[in-house]
Amino acid sequence: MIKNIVIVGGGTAGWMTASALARHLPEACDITLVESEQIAKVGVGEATIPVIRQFNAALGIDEKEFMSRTNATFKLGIRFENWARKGDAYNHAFGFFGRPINDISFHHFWLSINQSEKDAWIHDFNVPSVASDLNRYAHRQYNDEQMGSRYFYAFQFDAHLYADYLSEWAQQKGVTRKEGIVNEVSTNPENGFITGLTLDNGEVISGDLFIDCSGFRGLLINQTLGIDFLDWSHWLPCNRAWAVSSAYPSRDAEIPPYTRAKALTAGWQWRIPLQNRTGDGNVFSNNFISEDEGLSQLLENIEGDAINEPRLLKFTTGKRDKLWHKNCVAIGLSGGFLEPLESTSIALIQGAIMLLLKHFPDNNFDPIREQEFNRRMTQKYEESRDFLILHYHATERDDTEFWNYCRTMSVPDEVKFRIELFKKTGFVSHNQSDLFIEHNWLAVLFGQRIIPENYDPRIERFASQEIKELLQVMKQETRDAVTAMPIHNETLKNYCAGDLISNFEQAKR
Amino acid sequence: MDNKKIRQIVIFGDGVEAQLAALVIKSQFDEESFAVSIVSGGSQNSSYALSLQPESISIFNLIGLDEKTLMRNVKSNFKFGTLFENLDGKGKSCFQPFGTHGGPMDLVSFQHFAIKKRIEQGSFDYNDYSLAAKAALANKFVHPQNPGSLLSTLSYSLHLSAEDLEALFAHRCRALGVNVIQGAVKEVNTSNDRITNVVLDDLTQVNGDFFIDCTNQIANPFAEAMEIKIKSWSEWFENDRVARVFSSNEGEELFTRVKADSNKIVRQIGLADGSAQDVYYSSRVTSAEEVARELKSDSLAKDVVDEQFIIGTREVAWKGNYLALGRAFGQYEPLNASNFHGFIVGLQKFIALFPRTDDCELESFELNRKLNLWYENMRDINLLYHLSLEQKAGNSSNNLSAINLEKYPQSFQHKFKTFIDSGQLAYYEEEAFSEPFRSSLYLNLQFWPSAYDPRMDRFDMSQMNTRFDEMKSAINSTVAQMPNHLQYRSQYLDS
Repeated sequence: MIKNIVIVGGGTAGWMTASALARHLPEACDITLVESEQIAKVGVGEATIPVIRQFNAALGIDEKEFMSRTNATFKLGIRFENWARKGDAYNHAFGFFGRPINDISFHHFWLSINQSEKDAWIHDFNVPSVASDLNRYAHRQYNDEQMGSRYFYAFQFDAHLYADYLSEWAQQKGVTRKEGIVNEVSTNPENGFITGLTLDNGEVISGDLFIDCSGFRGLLINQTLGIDFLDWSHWLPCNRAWAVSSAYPSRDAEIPPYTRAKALTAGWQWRIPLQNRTGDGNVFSNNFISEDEGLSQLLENIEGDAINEPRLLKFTTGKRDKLWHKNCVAIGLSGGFLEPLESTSIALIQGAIMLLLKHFPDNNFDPIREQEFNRRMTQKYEESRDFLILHYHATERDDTEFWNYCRTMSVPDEVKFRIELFKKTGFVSHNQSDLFIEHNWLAVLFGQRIIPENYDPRIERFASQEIKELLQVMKQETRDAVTAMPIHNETLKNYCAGDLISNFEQAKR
Repeated sequence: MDNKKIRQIVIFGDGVEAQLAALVIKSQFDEESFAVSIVSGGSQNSSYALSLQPESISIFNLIGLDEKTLMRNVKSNFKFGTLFENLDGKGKSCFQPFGTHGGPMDLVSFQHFAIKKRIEQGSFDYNDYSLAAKAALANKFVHPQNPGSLLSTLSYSLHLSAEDLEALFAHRCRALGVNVIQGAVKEVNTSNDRITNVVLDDLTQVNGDFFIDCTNQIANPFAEAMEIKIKSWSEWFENDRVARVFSSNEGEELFTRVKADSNKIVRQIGLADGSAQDVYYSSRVTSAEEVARELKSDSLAKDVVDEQFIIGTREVAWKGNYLALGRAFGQYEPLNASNFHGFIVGLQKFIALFPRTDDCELESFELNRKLNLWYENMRDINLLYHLSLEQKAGNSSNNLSAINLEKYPQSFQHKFKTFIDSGQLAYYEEEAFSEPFRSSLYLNLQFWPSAYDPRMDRFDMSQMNTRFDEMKSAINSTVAQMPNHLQYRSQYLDS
């Protein structure tokens, strides 16, 4: 059995991995995490998607405490502005559109109504989307029976505080934290397996399994084992991000239950609302605007005052050829990075951890486990990549060179196929294991102004008037459910207040 | 070329498949939209009985046929799974139930509890933790009930008389105005990868906008005319003929029997008035006469129907305005599921992608991709059974990781190695069976992994033992209280 597990890197990926291994593996396993205060954490993924709740629940984390400690807010989705056209806005919210009737998805019914007779946009039948528009949020679990509970939620939190929180949690569960910089990595000359790390203080840490959470550089997976990087920047061209934190404009500002992604001239700007501040960033391609221009755009578009120095992240979108090689598994940025548009970073970290636990190696390191892990992770990265490409490619924007490139670029066959099939039939093709399923694709496809030419022909059995009445009822149910919800600030205050913006002045200082 | 709106759908086939396709289309779409015809050649090439999967039953709801009406009309029995007999050539059998085994354990699947226990104590009967398995072998039945209770772990299906179902469907087809044309296909005319018309043996020309092949024949004039190749799996499955017979002997069992018998596989499906037997054999080893002689030795047996078949699939099911469903697209040995199940899966996928015009390139790509995956997964499940027979017959080493898998498809090798190495299932899209079903199949066929999920070692095993010992007892006492199959069926159908 694997006895010694060594994790290199202590950001979100490192401490999520350490926590999960400490929680789920036999107590006889020794888990050591090496990190250095001298190396800045990237702290990706302040925004998440609903699957993170399964991860936290499996650890046994108390949600209220975790949210309070990380200044977390609830997230119902992402608001996309200016993506298909300048001036457009839509929500990719975590919930279903209307209700299926006779196993036929709701959107086909909506499509069957003549354009001139439609009195509501499809997003008006989506509870979390309407709630996002009104900054409302009721904390409840998904319940398919009630229209007002047919949604999922995720979190927006301070990634550094989340890493700190998990660090404390994991160390209480027996994980050993070592402060230091890795100076040298030793390998077995016979089989190429990693045998140990030498830290800058001379300490040698040996192990059976090494998890590389060292960030973009991939200290173990790349610099030691030489696993190449698959560059996807021709499909996802952004390669820089300026990030800054900013204050809310006032103490009584409404905190949106969503992340905002506003398309700019050569990328987009995020705004992630936490309890005490917002996280802001401009993701762009330096092939189209300079880094200075990127910074100016960021500062022009933040709503409050910046409360720290903007920092520049440089990245290339893509993934390692394989994330598991020999006795090393790359999790987080060392394994790949897409970009933060759909908050997939933490979800991919989580996916890798859960797969590693499922196919956890024994001392034989049978290659079949590595193969299955790598096969599945490739599927997960490619699926997320394709969903992201949809946002860039399905645009009508032609106002900048960047958007012209995205609109006209060649995309993977799978993306092309999914868009064309939807355009023609209204049918959303996806796999059973996908992170993003029908309602996710629908939100973005419709939001990007892709309206199908047809709908499911089974609907022609229904009378048009009957459909209109059904839609009217669902629209009203949606509206009533949202109207009954408290505003997001109120839910936060009553459920999980940390440094909620009542401490705004303190945060600003 | 202009796209032609689909108004006339022509379905080719003689059995329940063609009728069901017609009924589903008629019931799911606006009656005014399409004219549906069936061209029937009058030849019987289906089993006397059908053995359904739990997932198949919902198709009857689509055509407005409730369970009781269905069962009353087709001499139906309930079914809890499949009994595989004579796995080792010495009479050893194993039962493969529907439904779940054991219960959830945090993030770890139940099979790991079983694997760990087996490693510790040398033996473990997985079916001790399946209510369906225990009930089936005791010939007891109730419907699943009370979410969260032991009875909710049940999952069931049905055995049906194909002949009666055909009569029932024929009646419904007539009522819905499905036109039936008698005649065998003589010629299929095409242009630009589309069928333009079909000429029957009496020289009648059948025109249509969309043609659905439910002939149950993978190699036929349609495949030839549309230039669709066949991917044979004969390198892994030797049997190439099937002899079918119906016998009026007892057939009240709650399971399908599959028996490995000196180079043959015999499948027996019990109905209320007898049982159907399909004998799968290789013409290189056994002659049709020999098989027929053996079957006729049963004095209650009716006529033996013998036919050739090809195990495998076509490269595509849907091309242009032509779609092949069920055994016209692909055939597998009906070990865990009948080919009728594959037909239903294909039909359901088609209905969801139903085309408005004969320009169906995108829809057909989607269906072909998914249906091919589904059939390959079914093939891999069946290979597990064959590997089991091979292992037992050869008295091979118990070291399963040493089995030479090179002759098998890559996907099967990967799945098998993953399970044997760690007890985990490799993930593939469009699996034909659920994860619990697949893992239980490995264990029931005695493919026990050498390792279990290390997360098992975090559990308090004494608590786990108590929990599952109690479950085992509860299963036994529940079975004791369940009514007899016949008694239950009779009361249910009379109510």
